[in-house]
Amino acid sequence: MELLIDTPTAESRLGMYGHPDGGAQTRQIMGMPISIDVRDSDLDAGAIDRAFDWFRWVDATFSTYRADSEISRLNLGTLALADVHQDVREVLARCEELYAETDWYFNSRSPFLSQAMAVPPAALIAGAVDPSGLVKGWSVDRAARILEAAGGRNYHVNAGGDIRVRGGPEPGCRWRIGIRHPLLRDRVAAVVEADDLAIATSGTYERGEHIIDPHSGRAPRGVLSVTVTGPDLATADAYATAAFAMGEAGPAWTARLGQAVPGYEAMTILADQTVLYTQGFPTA
Amino acid sequence: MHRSLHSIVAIAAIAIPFAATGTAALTAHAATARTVTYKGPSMDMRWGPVQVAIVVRNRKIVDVQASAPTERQRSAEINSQALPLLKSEVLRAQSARIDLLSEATMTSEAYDMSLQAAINSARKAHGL
Repeated sequence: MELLIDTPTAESRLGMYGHPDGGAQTRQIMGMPISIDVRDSDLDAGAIDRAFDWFRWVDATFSTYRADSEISRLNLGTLALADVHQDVREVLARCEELYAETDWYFNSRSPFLSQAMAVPPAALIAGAVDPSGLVKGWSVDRAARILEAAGGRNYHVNAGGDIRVRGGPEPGCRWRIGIRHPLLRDRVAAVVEADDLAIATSGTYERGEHIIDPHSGRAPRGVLSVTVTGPDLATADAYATAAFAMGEAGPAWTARLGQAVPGYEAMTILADQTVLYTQGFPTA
Repeated sequence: MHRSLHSIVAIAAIAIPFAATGTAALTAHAATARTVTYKGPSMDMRWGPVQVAIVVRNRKIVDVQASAPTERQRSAEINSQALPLLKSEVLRAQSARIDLLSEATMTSEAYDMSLQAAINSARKAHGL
């Protein structure tokens, strides 16, 4: 099921900020709104359609909600790891790396997958995987490559609030990305200004506490949201998810992040309304 | 927060291949004729070294032991070392001009639910 939402603005609620958004196109794919906005007049025709087609292929290949996806068939044991698409192998390998990089907080490997999935839990093989947490950011990174190959130099791709930007909305202007205020829906807590960056946010405000600390089994306490910026959206998203799952230990982990993995910065909003930034966080 | 069975089993999964290949870093102690304890090498995790031992009896892992500082101790140490590296300010509400919005979504729901399911099932399986 795919919904077409062609609006003059990336998301209608952005209208309240009064910014005349040029030509963002939005599609509902992978269970979320995906917006693409390219400001280059010389972009190859069809590039945006190809980018949306890419997301549809990712959904068909990786979705745990489709019984015929490669991930579902892998988890059923009807598809061998040796026979999966190279992109699937790449994603699964990166998941394993991120599992270790995040002190075992970013966990995509589980013998017991969600009951909401297309595959019944009892039918899953041992070592079943759910790379959904990485696929979103990874697919945006790849969509950006499609736009770049077509001459895109000023664009953004926004998949459900996880964002990659390059250039700016108009000459001499960089993109301004608001970090949503976790308590006031129509306000932003900070603004990031960037011309080549990925931004991912994890938090609880959207639909209650939906991230679980894998070590305690509880929703993390004390943190409202974590935003991570960096060169790679898949990585930034995994770091944000992990740091949020760590709860009150998250900010300290992000403080070391910049030293361990150069280029990544974080902003954490605590429940007591303190905001903690790593030194290089790119606020406007 | 507890570093629970879930993560320890994950560490053990890494230690096992070392045991299988007979890496020099491993030492084996015969406890009984059929029970053997394998110690994995000390691994540097971001929050400090961890060493895992597994007890194998009749080709099955019957116990996993991990030596690591407790979560609380480590968190306290980390916070005292790392928090001064962070800039702190009070949360502000702005209505600045922006081009787009970064926010948390429910899209990682499947991932999160699988985590929860894993924890629930591990608890069930191990009577926790």
